Amino acid sequence: MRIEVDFDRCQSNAVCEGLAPSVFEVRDDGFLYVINENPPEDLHEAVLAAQAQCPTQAITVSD
Amino acid sequence: MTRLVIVGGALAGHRAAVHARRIDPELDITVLGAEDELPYQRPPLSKGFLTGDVPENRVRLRGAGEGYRLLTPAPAVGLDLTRSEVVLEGAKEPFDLLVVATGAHPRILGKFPPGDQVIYLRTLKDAIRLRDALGHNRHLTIIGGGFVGAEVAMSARHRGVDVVLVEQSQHLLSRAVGSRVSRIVETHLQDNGVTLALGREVTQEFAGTQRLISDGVTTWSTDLIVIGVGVVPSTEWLDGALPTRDDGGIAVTEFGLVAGFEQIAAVGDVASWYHPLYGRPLRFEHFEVATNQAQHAVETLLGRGNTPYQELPFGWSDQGGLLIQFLGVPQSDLIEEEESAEDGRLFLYRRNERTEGAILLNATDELTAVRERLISTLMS
Repeated sequence: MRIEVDFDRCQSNAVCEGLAPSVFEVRDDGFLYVINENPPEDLHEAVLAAQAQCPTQAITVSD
Repeated sequence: MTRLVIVGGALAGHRAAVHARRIDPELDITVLGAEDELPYQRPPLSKGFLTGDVPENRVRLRGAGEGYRLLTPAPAVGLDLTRSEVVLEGAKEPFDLLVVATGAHPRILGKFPPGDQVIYLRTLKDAIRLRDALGHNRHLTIIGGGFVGAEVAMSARHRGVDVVLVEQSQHLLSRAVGSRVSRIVETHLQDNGVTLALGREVTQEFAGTQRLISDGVTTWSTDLIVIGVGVVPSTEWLDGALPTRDDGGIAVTEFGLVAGFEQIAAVGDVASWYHPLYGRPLRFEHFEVATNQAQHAVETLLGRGNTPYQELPFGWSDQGGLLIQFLGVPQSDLIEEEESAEDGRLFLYRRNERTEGAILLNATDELTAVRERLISTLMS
């Protein structure tokens, strides 16, 4: 699994961070960082939920 | 060197500048911002910023002020087409290519002039004032039952402030959604302790230090008023130099250019874009539409693309536990039908047999499928 974030769309809502905190992190500068672009399998479900629930549809997940 | 000037230093202007820089590293790019701020985003200003969940540094846009020359405060006061110059107070900014991204400003109610206790929420400064005011006022009256009014109501409740929300039509969000979705939003607000005054118009009077609001039926005392009765595209400074449409926006083609001009584009809240999928001009006040239009228009202006803009409009409103997402153009005068959804609720809006829009309530899992469905319907 590979994660890409479209930062033109990302609004730092931190919905993704809530669902998968070991993958997404909104830091003190207010911006989202993907801290694990190739997360292990046990996190896939959480990442897919983050992709679906991102209000601005900024997350793309590929195999 | 080609000079690109962008009038407007909010989301659409910033995005246009960032995208232009990506395309052409040599371009001379100047952004003229009316406010004395680095480019920031507005969606949190009626939500997380007011509750304190989103601090000021999270409102700034990524890369704000980087890769282009940013002049602030530099409100444009005129456009000289003969000389190809944007007129500023005491200065002029010549351009080869121009992007107009001046956004919109709140419609002001004559009976409620802006003041310390009467806030028209639009800018970061307005939001800071409101956030602070919610900390030391007990009762808030909101006039205007649109998305901003509903969001501010939920944020104020979160801060423990009593809220009355006044709307002159019979339903909340009455221009944007059908009556069934309105009803769900109304119930959500009421369940969270918001008092609704629907179908009412209000006046204010003063009794000593007390501010009294009357809707003709009841009178109540309030400390603070927030007014959100829509916005007006900011075109006054143009003094008619560019064509506008009935919706108040600058007339823009499906490519992003201002009608009749090859060197001038307009994007975001100020722009009335002809939309090929709908066969009519549309004007939006959505975060994502502003971003997409800015990028599309810059590609057209710089000769990097000559395709009509076909993005399906998308926006959202987060009302503390109720996430409303809208796709396409759901309008209250269309036929509203509910469809079953795995989670949340899904409403489709059709004109005759053609589905033109959708509203999803806490149904994020449905978004991709509904988007694809709408696009295929609209393109056929």
